[in-house]
Amino acid sequence: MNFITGINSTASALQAEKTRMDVVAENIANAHTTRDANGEAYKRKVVSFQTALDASTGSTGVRVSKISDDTTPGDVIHDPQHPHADKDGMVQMPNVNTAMEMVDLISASRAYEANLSVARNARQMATKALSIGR
Amino acid sequence: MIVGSFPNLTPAEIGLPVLEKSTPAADLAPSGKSASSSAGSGAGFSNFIERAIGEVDSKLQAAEGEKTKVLTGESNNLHQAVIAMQEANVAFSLMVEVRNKLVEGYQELMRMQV
Repeated sequence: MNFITGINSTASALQAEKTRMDVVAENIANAHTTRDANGEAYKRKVVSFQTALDASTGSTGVRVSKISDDTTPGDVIHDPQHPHADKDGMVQMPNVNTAMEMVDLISASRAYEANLSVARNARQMATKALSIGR
Repeated sequence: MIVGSFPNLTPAEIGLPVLEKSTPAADLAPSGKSASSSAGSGAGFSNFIERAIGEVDSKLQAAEGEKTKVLTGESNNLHQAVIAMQEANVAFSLMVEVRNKLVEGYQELMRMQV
């Protein structure tokens, strides 16, 4: 018995958007990381979502299907003093564009807010329904 | 759904059998019918109430569990905890609303002129 209908879809969306925000945080944090576990420059992470059917309620939610690497090449800059510079003094920088990450952050944060509004409204509807005849 | 399934409540069904016996309002009802109806549906009704309260309690406990998980750092699903609390809140409000209606009905009966 669930009085706030649709809340399960909203909860899954909140979880998904939070993951997206976490990934943006990861990308921004590693905007200048020139070495990862494989000895290469950091690769920007991208989140993709997919629908998820909740069998117990029959509602369709969303879940993170994959966190994949963005394979576009990053800038190569000339910095001979850099410890990771090759023999020509060139350094492979990560393919993170901070401005783009900020846009992603705004988008994720707005989507989160939208889902919060849905949750709030669903609750208000339930509360209003309880006050019928009062 | 819950409110719809309360047909013709008598004070006995609300759980106030002592008061019913000692008040004139109860004497107004045809004794045979009142006795049989409270005996027949009394168990069903109290079962129903018990189940409804159990449902509310399970929601409250689920919310409590989520809250504890977040506070102890076991999970970082803040929204899940808040949503569980809201669900419990709405379920509890419904329970209170139903109780208010029952008491209101009983008091209406007690105010009846004889």
